[in-house]
Amino acid sequence: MIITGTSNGIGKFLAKHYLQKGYIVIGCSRGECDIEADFYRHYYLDIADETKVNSLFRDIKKDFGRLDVLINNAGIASYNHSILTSVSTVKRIFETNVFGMFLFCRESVKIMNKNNFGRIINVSTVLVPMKLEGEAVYAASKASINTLTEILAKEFYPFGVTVNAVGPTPIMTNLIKNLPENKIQDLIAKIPLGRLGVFEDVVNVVDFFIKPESNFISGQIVYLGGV
Amino acid sequence: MKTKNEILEIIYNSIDELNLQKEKKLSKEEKTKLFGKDCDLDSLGLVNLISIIEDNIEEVTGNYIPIADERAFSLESSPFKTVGTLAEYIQKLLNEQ
Repeated sequence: MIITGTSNGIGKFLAKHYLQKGYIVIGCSRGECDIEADFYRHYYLDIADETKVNSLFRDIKKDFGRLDVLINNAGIASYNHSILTSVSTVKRIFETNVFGMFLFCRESVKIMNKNNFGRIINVSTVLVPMKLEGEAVYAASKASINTLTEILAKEFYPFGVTVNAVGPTPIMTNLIKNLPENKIQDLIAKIPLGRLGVFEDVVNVVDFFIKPESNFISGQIVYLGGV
Repeated sequence: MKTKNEILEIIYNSIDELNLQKEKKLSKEEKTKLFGKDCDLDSLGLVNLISIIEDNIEEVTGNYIPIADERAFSLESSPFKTVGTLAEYIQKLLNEQ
């Protein structure tokens, strides 16, 4: 199993969860990662760096010969008014959130194809349907992920690979910890089920998508929090 | 540096692998069409063939080269039009390494 963005937040939690369940987990991040486990391997890389990503997939092919699950979790957020957002920020967000995610999908399916089995889960966000001011670029990048999820599902199904997405509500991770308190309270007020998410909410949906019995579920985006 | 004939050999070996999964066999000739009218390969078959070729190139040269091109399904300028054009395209990719 590959999980991108395992240095903190949801990615780190998912990595620990699936290590506990007995998976061999390959994680990656740009920043420091402190996960230590026999069946964990970490790559320090920028997920949009095609050369480094290709080399990660070559290692997987050589060392394991198979890949069952990809969780595209790595992402960067940005809360800002569009007028105050530089194009370089837009590029940086799309490079990681969309280009990097696409690259991992493309290379994963080539290995999954060999066993005619695979599960790809992309991490989206409720901010896509909520369409909040200040989240234009971040939400647009995640909307791209949703569209990619829906179309890749059709392209990859002949290879036995399902592609789905989970759209968490904000969780108190690094992505939102810098938001002003009143903004977080405003956000919670707009979530129908009335609270921030917890990591377990996300794991529950990912577990469901991974199940062998979920082989007839693809191209779906499941939003949390009643959104 | 690989010659076109060496690359053709890699492609022909890949076609052998692909044909194991196919009822209607793809012939091993430079003029064999890889997509479009009068072609024995559907788009899924082409994707499968490219994936096998990538593996075999890596095995022979030690380099992983993703064979991706936005003109893949363009009738006029696709490098995947025939086995011959694909060999030339792969040669170009290898030389750019």
